[in-house]
Amino acid sequence: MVVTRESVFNKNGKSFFKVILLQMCEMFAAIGMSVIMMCEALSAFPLLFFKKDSRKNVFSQMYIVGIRTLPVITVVGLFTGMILGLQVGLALTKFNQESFLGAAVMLSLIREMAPFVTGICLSACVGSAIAAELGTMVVNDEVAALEIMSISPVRYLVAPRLGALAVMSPFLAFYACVLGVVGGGLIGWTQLAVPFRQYMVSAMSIALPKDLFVGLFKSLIFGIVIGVVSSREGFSTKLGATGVGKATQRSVIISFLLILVLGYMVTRAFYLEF
Amino acid sequence: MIRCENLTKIFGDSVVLDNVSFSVSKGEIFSIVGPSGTGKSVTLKHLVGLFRPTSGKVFLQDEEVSSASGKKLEKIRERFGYLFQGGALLGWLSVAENVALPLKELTRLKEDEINRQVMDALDAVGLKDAADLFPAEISGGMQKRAGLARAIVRKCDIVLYDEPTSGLDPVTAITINNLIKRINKERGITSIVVTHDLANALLFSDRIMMIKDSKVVINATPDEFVASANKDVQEFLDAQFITEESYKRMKVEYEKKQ
Ligand SMILES: Nc1ncnc2c1ncn2[C@@H]1O[C@H](COP(=O)(O)OP(=O)(O)OP(=O)(O)O)[C@@H](O)[C@H]1O
Ligand SMILES: [Mg+2]
Repeated sequence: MVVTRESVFNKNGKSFFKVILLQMCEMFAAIGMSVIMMCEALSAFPLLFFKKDSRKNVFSQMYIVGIRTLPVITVVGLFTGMILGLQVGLALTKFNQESFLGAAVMLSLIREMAPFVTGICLSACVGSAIAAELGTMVVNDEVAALEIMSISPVRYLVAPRLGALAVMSPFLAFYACVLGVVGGGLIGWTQLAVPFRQYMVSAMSIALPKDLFVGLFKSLIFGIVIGVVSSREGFSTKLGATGVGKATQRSVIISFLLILVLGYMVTRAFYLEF
Repeated sequence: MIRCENLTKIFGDSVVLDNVSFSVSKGEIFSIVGPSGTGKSVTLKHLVGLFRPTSGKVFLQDEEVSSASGKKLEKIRERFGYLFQGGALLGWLSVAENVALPLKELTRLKEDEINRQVMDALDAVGLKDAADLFPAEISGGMQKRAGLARAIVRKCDIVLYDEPTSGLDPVTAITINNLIKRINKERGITSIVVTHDLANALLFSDRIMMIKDSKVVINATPDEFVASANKDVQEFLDAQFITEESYKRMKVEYEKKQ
């Protein structure tokens, strides 16, 4: 029962504290539901590749996630790198340490900024669309129609979207990172007179495989989080078109917060040695 | 075959169904009529477990639908065809693909066999020419008919029709009504029809139930329905200019055509 179609609790006329309490209960229910949904979708992954129709479905979702977002990610990646290059470069020139510009830009991008900005872009471009699409389907009884046909909405609708997000998110983060490093280098070269070659050598020598893997791992998690959150919000849509708007909004906000918090937690887990 | 016992549904503070009990026997055409917003669609959704009752139970034969979940609920749902009020077609599939979906997912038929059955079903609802169009490209009435084709394409025991003829022109509406009747006769399918078209409901149903203000007003055969002295029933009949005499005349005409 991932699709509820109605409010779990009736909050009308309840006292303030009761409402808060019910809202907390709802939050925990949502977390539990998300975990169940994620497990169900993950367990449906192998099935996705058996059937011709669902394979087609996965590829079209990958196209939507990976290719259609490229223009946005390109601009965002490039400018994130350029801003980093400029700010860090300005700070470094104060201490005559411009030769470390490449290292600084590379580290912040590969470890944090690339997965982060990719996650934000994906939640805005793809997550919102998933929530709106699934929400509209709930409101129009299309999800109910699937359930009547014993087609699990999680397998049929969530799994391809989640799979596409999980696969494409690391690729996009890598792409954003490459573009960002190049952008930072261009700024260093044109505005701060840091030779491009020197910048690149410094950038490449600092980056360890671990940095790359942790960064990609982070973006994998972000992809999954965006998929799960926006699907759940879409599925719990109530009350028609306004409900769809609310679900979309909530999906973006929740994904955004989780990306920040989980980003910190992953960093903490991998980089702070005891 | 289907039994609702004291079905009550409350959304938030509003009582949508209040102690609704009825049963539908096998092979029957059972119509549900009533004003807009009285919970007819909600009742249908309870029959297939899309809503859980606040209290009361729903049975399909001896199995309780209202508490079933997982595999058991899937087994129950496999016996149902369902036409949703808005058609509920999937937007990214063409009309033919939408109709083929239950066959593809629930049966092991060969591809050309599926195609043949899909074309038959589309032909029956008069949509053969629209097979390759997408739901957004066809009108509301056509979407509803495509939904109907999807509901009946697979062999099932019970079909639920949520307003199959509303929004259709009179001639198409008659075709659809005849189709419902024919499927019911040929395949022995139990049919539950929610409709606003009282005249036709009186002609083709075995029993009619009226819901008003979330309660059952009457549950009777068409003859008893027309003869009823209940104020709400009379009001409903008056609104569609149906009297006992005109009903008898219609019935004669109808039976001549059958
Ligand atoms: N998911 C839901 N959450 C809250 N209220 C709902 C929900 N679904 C239906 N309702 C309420 O239940 C009532 C009955 O709705 P329903 O769709 O069953 O009416 P209906 O009898 O089918 O009317 P119509 O003839 O217009 O289709 C409406 O007042 C509606 O607001
Ligand atoms: Mg309705």
